[in-house]
Amino acid sequence: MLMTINLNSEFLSLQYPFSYAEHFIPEFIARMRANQECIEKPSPRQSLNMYRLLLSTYLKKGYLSTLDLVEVSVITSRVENQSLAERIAYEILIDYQEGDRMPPTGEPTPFNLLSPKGGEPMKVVPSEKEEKVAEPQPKYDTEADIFKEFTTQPDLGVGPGENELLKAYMRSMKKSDDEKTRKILAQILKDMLLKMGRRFERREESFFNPMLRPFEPGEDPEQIEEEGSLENILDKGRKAEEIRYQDFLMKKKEKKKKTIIYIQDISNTMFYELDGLNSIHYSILSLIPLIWALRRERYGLVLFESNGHILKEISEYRDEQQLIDVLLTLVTSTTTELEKNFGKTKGSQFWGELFRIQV
Amino acid sequence: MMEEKERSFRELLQESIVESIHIEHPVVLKEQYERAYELLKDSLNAGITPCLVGPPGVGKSLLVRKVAEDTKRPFYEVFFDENVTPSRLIGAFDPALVVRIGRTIESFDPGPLIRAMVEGGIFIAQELNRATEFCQNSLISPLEEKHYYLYPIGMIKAHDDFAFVATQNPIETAGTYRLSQVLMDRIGCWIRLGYPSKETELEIIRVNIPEFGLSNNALEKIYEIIHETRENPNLGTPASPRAGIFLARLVNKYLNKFETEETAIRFFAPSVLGKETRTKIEGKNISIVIEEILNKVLGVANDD
Repeated sequence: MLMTINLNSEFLSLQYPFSYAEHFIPEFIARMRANQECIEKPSPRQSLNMYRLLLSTYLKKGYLSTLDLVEVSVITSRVENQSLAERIAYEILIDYQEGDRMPPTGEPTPFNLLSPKGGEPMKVVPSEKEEKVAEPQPKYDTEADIFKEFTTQPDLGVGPGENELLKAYMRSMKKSDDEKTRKILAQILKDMLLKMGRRFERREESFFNPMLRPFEPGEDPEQIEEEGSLENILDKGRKAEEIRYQDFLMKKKEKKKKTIIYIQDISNTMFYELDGLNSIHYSILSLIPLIWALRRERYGLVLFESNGHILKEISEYRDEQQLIDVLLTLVTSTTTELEKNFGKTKGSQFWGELFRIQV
Repeated sequence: MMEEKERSFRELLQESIVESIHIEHPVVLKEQYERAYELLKDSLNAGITPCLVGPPGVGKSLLVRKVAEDTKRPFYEVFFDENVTPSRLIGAFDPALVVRIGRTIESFDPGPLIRAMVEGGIFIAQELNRATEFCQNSLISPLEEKHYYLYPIGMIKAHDDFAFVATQNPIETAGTYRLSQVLMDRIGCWIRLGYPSKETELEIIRVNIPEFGLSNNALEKIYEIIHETRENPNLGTPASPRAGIFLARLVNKYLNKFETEETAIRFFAPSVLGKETRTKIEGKNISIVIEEILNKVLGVANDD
């Protein structure tokens, strides 16, 4: 019989909450670290914060419920990990209900949260025998080497070892005739690629303009141009007690953008398929995170086969998201669709026409 | 004449100096706001640094100010962008005084962060994910270890009541950067705020309008317009509750100049919404999208 229990019920209050939290928190952290979806692993600080917040809640309310455990798991996790944290928190609670890792029979049951009698507050009775009870072991190794995955999993790139999930997405897209499904998959793929781009995005570099300007309160005195300031003070004939902060001169910091041109081959040789995917797929998968990561620089984008198709000129403003959507069509369209587009564009040039730019 | 004007300004400036600024309108603490308020207080009590994350205009800053006001702590806030340097937060030595007396406490002009640390106040880092990495690094030790080494004065230990609260827009918002790992790790509580429910948003609009005189129907229409910008697939940046407040204020204030409330809404809506919203589709004019929304909610305008 399927029994539905509302885990959010405040009735599921924990009578000895911290003996439960003591187990729940390390288990939660361990599962988060072991989960592939969690890119930035939680640190020991998160465990401490979870304890602290639970204590604060307990002191305020006088009790803790399962809802508090879930909530504290979610809010101490980073925003991008919060849905995963919520799922894992519930999974831990449900696992205990299923009975795995329960203490030996006859001993107090610390995690009977989801028993049919869950309407009553949970009672955990500490006993003298408690010390003898083997501590329940977390499902995942808490001492797992968190760097392991970075050494064993290569980055996305052309060649073997790419993210299998990405490949699976792309195969599904190619197989799907349903336009709506393809759009959804394309959006998922886009989100993944942009997320990847964010991981290595960089700021624009700055440089110091030789022009000097007066110091303003709150500015970094380290940036004062000493020689220029001294000359200025002497030119004005200031005595030491007459010197004002405006007499000091600062170096002017300005942004410096790099100039990048992306040139993407879309000729026939790129359509050779291996393992259901072709070279265009691989290079677009690398290109999109790169464009996103360096989107603040000055860049141009050209596709070429026998003709060149300018998608973005260096000095031109284009919405990056839109540009990426167009590049994604190279991945989401089937080879036949692409060939069809190229076929009809001999004169008008499909890509140029798409962007209203004639090469 | 100029001297007199300047003197008069300085007198007015002196009169304008107040101990602290109080929130003028009641703050609606319902649903997500109630929970976020409680979490903020819990985090501060537990010595954890919280960060409010949400789109612009949902009330992140107001909520933090409310906590600061209710806990009777002085608060200092800094809106981060690429031009905010560590010196603006920490403070800097006045170079003119340094020439005369050297780097001493007297020649040091403290910034808001050091002031909050010393006085036991709340430092609000608004839009933290717009800060440069250089600036983020200067926040690390005040944030977790509650101290700052100010060369050559020495180590400054924060008051026990000192707290750091951050707000940030979602990472997808233009102009934002990822926070550094070390800083993210020191933020222990991530509170998300989204757009409020209809009832809460209507109440927010009501309490933010002095001498509220609009009918429920007009208020509903304003909400529907704002809500529609969030549902409209052509809009990348929808309108915030703040836009709803601005629109309702204008309609409320100048209602007597229009025949009906709907005419007033139709007149002011493009100016208010055009400022905030952005289209997703290139070439699609924002005013056309707004016009479509107004026609959908208020019916097609009769030009006669």
